[in-house]
Amino acid sequence: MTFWSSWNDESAQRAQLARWRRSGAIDDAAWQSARELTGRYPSAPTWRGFLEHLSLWLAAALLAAAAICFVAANWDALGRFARLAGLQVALVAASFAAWRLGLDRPAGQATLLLSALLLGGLLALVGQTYQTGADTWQLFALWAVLLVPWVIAGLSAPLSLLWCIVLSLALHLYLLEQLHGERWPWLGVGLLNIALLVIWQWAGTRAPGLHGRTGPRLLAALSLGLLTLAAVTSIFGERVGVDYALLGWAIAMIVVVGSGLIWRRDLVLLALAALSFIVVATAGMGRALYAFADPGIGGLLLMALLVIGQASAASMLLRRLALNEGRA
Amino acid sequence: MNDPISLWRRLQAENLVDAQPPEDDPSTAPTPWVARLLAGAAAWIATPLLLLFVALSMGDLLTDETAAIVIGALMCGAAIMPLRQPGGEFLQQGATIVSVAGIALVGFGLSQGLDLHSTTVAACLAVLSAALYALSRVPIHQFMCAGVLVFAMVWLFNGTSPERLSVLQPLVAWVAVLLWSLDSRADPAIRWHAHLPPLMWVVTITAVGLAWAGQIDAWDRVDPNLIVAARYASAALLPVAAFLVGRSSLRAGDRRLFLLLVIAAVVLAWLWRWSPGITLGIALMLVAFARGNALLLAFAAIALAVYLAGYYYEMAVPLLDKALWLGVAGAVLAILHVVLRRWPAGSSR
Repeated sequence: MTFWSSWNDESAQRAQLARWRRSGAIDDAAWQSARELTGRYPSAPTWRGFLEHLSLWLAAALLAAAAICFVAANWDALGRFARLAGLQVALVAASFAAWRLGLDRPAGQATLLLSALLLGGLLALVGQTYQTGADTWQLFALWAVLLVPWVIAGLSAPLSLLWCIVLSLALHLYLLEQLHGERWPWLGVGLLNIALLVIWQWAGTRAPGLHGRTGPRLLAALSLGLLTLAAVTSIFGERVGVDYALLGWAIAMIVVVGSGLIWRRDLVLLALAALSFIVVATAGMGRALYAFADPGIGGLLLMALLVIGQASAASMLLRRLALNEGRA
Repeated sequence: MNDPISLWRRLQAENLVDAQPPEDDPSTAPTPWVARLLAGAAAWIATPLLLLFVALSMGDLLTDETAAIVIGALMCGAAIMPLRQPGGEFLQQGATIVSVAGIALVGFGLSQGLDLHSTTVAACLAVLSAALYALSRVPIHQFMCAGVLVFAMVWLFNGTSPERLSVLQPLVAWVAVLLWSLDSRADPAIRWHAHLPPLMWVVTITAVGLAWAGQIDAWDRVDPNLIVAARYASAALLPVAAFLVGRSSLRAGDRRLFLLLVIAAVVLAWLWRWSPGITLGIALMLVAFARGNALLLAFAAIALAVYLAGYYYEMAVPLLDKALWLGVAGAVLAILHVVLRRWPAGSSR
């Protein structure tokens, strides 16, 4: 059993005892004895596991941040060759260390993440040193392409998330440069992340490293956030009607709800979808009310009631699903 | 086997309980945090709409600030009953929004109409929101009241000046960490225990926000001695948090690990004494882990990541120095990881 599942079990046990104590199902003496019986939370081995992971991932993040700051500092005292060679040596050393430590171990995964970040630093340093004239989106696109072997080798959530962020940044910068207005980058990056969410959910059934829920939740949050913005902008735009932004948002909603309800039950995904629906539906209702009727100030009260009604319904549904999940 | 039935049977085997396990009642089952978050977000959308409706409905009365205070107070008062005895979700949501809109109207009336000093307005709002917090049984309403209360307290402290903010930052950070640490030891049957988390969340969010605000250049104008004192006070939080959380569970289980945790916390606090967001982030992660709170753990990790990203843009520290500090701290943590991997578990007391 990993420290994470031990911690989850211990936390659930403690929460259950607290609930019983609060509801009066156990008295003070039983509460004290129950705590002695179930042991001190978290247990020493669980603490050790947590501290090992915390120190490892924080070390990787801080060392990568140090490398990025070092590249950005453009230190004159160090020559062009020394700077490039130094970072290349660090990249090779980190990759070698990852291989030696083993990619099935957290230490190997953290070192692989460090080497993936050093790769980005190296590309930035090459661009800075030789003034290649490449656009920023090209740097991120190249980084995303070169990262593919790292992602396939690691098949872990942190590395895959890094790849998704780099790819999204490349597309965002490209669309911002090629097309006018913010809506297209929102739409493009939102749909890209929906596609990545589907791939992640599929890969999660095959690769244990991608089985966690953090990655899909972050992708869904980013995607729905951007597409909701695009949809609301479209609703309050000059033209009234359905356009690409609303269509993109509808596709994202179907995917997120399907993923959270049918594919793999996840209340967070459903809550994100519900919030996005409330925002878009309220904006649509407001636009329709004031475009086709003249409800006066009563329209504001109607919209407030609509938000309360939708939030209550969504809250009730989530609570019911949580209760069913607990009983299952 | 850690499901509720197995846990109850364990207690039964020890003669701690004698009845059947209590049935899960859907009406009293705790609301999942995602549903609370959703309700909170919806309240933020609905409150301005309701406020606008009330303001426009008042028409000419809007210019009469006394009317705004009276209507605001009436709205707060009308919402108390459904907030004290929560019924359906719709009623809870509606009462929350009416109450928060009422507080906003009272605040507007007090600040615009009665020619009061801003600190008096803040004091009135603090008293009103504290009273509503104490009366309410709806967590999202309590959260919003706590938000007003903490904002009013910061205002009372004249927290908008950089000098005051720099003093307030470690103070709020200490309060946040101590509240979470003390709460984990309290008996859940105590009445206030179930009602404290919304306040603890607001204090924690404020502490993190103040740490982020410290990255703004305006703080450079603050008296350097004051900044140094505030930074040391903030850094001291990490070893104290490590000691507090480790003392209850770790010291008895593995004394050697407990000592290592405290020593590592002291070293990291020293290294990051100029960056309160990092020491606060790590302290909150330790507290969250000890308390078994996954949501707080995720929040602390995100707060730490955002602070680190902001650290890159901090003008007060040259990039080369940043690289050095980050590298040294990373190396210390890597060494700590190796020590933890290779050091056998210590004996329990």
